[in-house]
Amino acid sequence: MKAELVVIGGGPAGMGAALEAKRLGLEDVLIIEREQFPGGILQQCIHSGFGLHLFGEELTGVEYAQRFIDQLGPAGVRLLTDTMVMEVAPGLVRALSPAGLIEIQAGAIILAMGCRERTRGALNIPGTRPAGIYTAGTAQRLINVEGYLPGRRAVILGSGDIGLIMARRLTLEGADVLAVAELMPWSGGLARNIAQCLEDFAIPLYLSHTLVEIHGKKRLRGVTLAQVDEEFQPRPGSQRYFPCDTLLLSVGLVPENELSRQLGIELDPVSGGPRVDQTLSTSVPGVFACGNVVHVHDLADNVTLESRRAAAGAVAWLARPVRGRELAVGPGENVSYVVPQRLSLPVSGTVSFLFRVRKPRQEAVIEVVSGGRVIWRKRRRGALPAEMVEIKVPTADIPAADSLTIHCRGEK
Amino acid sequence: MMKKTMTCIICPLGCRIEVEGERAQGYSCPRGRDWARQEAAAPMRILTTTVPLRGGEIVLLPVRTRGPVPKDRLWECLARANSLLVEAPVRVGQVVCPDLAGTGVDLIATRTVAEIGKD
Ligand SMILES: Cc1cc2nc3c(=O)[nH]c(=O)nc-3n(C[C@H](O)[C@H](O)[C@H](O)COP(=O)(O)OP(=O)(O)OC[C@H]3O[C@@H](n4cnc5c(N)ncnc54)[C@H](O)[C@@H]3O)c2cc1C
Ligand code: SF4
Repeated sequence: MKAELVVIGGGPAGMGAALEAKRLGLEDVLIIEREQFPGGILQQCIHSGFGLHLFGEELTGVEYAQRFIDQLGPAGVRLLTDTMVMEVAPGLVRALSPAGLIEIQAGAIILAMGCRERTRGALNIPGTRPAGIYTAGTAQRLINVEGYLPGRRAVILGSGDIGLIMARRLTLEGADVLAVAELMPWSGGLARNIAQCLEDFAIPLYLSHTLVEIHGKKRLRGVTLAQVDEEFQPRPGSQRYFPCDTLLLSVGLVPENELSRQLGIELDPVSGGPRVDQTLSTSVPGVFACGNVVHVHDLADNVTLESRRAAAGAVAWLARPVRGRELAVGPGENVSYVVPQRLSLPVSGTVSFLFRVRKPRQEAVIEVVSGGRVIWRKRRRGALPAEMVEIKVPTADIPAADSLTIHCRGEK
Repeated sequence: MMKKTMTCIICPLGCRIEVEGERAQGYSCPRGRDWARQEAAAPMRILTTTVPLRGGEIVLLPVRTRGPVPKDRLWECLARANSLLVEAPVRVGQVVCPDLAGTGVDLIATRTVAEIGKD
C-alpha cells in the first residue's frame, strides 16, 4: 500500500491533520486507527466544554469528534480502523490489521497517537494491591462506553480535569465521592471544573494531601489520606481514614511515544513528546507530530489548531524536502517546557509558542529573551500550571541568534 | 442584597465573578456577565449522561440536554433519562426525549450510531 501522507492515530489531532492536508491539496491521505471507531479519547468524553473557540458553541467531546468524523468521507480521507501501527521507519509504516500485517509506503508521516495515563506503579503508593483501583480515564471508559460502574464509594487521587470530571460522573451514576485529594497546594484542574464538578455536588477537595495507605486484601476497603508539609512529607497526626471500594488515580498523562522512541526521534524529557519545530517537524525528516503525543493539551481546540500546523508542515515538506538552520527555544524562569523546542529558519508571520508555568502567578509578565536582550514582552492576567499558555510572537521580533528563552515573571 | 461570588463555567478562563443585585464584576466578556446574573438568580446546568441503546454498534448512547436546565432539577432530569431505551440508528442532534422532565428542554443524542451490521 502507498499514501502521500500517513497519519497515525484517529483522534482530533489525527483527523484535524488529515482534513487540513486534504484542504491544502494532497491527493492521498490515510489515517490508521487501532480502535473500531475514530475519535480518540473524545469518544469517552461525554461532558460538555469542547469547541467554544473553533465552533463558537459548547459541544461535548463526543460531538466534537463527530464534527470531524462526518467530514472524513466527503473530504476523501482514507481511514483504516481496527489497525494498530507496530513500527515506523522513515517513509514506511507497518501495521497489524484484521487482515494481517500490512506495509504502507509513506511520503510523510504524522504521529498523532495521543497520550496514556500514569499508573500507580509509577507512583509508589504503599499498602496492598486490592481490586477497585483504576486510573480515572479507565473508569471514564468503563462508565461512559461500557456501561459498568466501578464502585459505590470512591476517593479520587489527583485533581486534574479528568479526576474532577469523574467525580461528577460517578456522583450522577449514583456513587458517593468522599474526597478528591491533591498533593499540591493548588488544583491541577480548571477552575470551572472545580465549580461545576465538585462544588455543585458538595464534594470536598483536600489540597496538600496525599494517600498514605491502601486498605483491603481482595477488594479495596478504604484509604488513608494525610496532609503534607512543604516538603510533601505527611504531617504526623493528620491521617484520616476513608472507607471506600473504589480509588481513582488522576495523576497525569504521558505522551504515547513507543513508536517515536523506536524511530529514534529526539524527545523532550519534560513534555514527554518529540522535540518539534514550528512546523511540528520532529528530529527525523519527514516525520511530524501533533496533539497529545507532543505535549498534553487541556483543550481539544488547541489540539486541532496544532494539527493544522503539522499538516501544513508536512505538505510543505512533501513539496520541498529541505530544512534550514535551527534556533533553539528553551524554558526560562517559572516555565517547565516550551513547544516548539526549536525554530527552523526562515520563519515568517507570527510564531505560536505554547508552554506551561511551574507555579501559579496572579499577574504575570511573559518575556522572550535572546542573546541577553528582551525581544518581546507581554503582561497577562494570571498563569496557572493547569492551563497551557499561548503567546504569538511576530517573527520580525525574532533575531537570527542561536537561541530564545521564554520566562514567566511575576509575583506569587 | 446579598453578594454572591462564583466561578464562571462558560469558558476555560474561569473568571471569578461577584454579583450583587443587577451589578456584576470580575467577568471578562458579556457571556460571562449574563451567565453570572442567571447563576445568582437561578443556576442552570447542561446535563450530560448516557442512555442504553438497542441494536446499535455501541451499547450506550451519549446524550445531553440541548440547553441548560435548572440545577435543582438535575436529578429529576437524570431519573427520566435513565428510564429511556433508544433504538439504533441514531443521528447526532436527534431528539431522544422531548421536553425532558417538563423542563421544556430536549434531550439530544451527541453521537451518530449505525445499526449493528449496517454501515
Ligand atoms: C477526561 C478528559 C477530559 C477532557 N476534557 C476536555 C474539555 O472539557 N475540553 C477540551 O477542550 N478538552 C478536553 N480534554 C482534552 C482533549 O480531549 C484531548 O487533548 C484530545 O482528545 C487529544 O487528542 P489527540 O488526537 O492528540 O489524542 P487522542 O484523542 O488520545 O487520540 C489518539 C488516537 O491514536 C490512536 N492510537 C494510538 N496509538 C496507535 C497506534 N500505534 N496505531 C494506531 N492508532 C493508535 C488511539 O487509539 C487514539 O484514537 C479532555 C481529555 C480527557 C482525557
Ligand atoms: S466571564 Fe467570559 S471570559 Fe471569563 S470565564 Fe466567563 S465566559 Fe470566559
